[in-house]
Amino acid sequence: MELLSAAGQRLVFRLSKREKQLLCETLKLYPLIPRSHHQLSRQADADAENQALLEEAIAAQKQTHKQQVDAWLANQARWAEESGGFRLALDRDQIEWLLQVLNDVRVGSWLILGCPDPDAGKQPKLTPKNAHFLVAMELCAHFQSELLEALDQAH
Amino acid sequence: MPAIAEPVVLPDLEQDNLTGSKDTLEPGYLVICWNDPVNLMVYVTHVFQVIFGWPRQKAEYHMLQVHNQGKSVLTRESLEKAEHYVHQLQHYSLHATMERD
Repeated sequence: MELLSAAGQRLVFRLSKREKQLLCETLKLYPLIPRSHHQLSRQADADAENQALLEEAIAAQKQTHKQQVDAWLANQARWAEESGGFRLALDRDQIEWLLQVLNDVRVGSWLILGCPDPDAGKQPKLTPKNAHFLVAMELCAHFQSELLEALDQAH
Repeated sequence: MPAIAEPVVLPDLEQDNLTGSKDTLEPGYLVICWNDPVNLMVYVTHVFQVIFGWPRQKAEYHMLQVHNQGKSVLTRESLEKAEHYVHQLQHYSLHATMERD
């Protein structure tokens, strides 16, 4: 994934065929973070009503994002094919949206893998059923880094 | 004899409103971001910049505080504003909460 140009709100990237496939497959996993993961407060006497409001807001956002992801994946016209890859134009709002979606998949994959923390010696709990989430987690990090670097370059 | 105006007793609606919303208006809530080993440092910095409108340097300062000290108090706000910020941070899947000061 490489930034080709940036003009105003619009950034144009080049992705290889493999990268396009991996990005689309990763986005299909959205959403992964369970509702119960979102906590408004750590305090024992936290307001249940406000906690419910947070969960509702997050659920509504995820529903909207899921519809956007499905529409985004269905619209193949956004991918302009060129030799050995594709051009993809994104505006800054779409990049913010993609960052949120990718991070949901990254954090959700991390939760599924048992919250690994290699620095603390806690390795992922890999099974044949969840191993692909380790790949998804790393792919999200790759695409997030590329998008953030592009925003930085375009600044 | 000049008429002496009797004191007008108004219903204390204003007082009721003030006391009723005291908790929500006072900046008594801390918005805290907690460390986790999954969110990318560059991503956390970006999110702080977007949500709080901070310059890169300030966003990086708080990101490093989260990373090195386990948490960072991002802002101290009223109940409503603190909730707003926590919602925004959680929309980006950051581990953020609000705690009464």
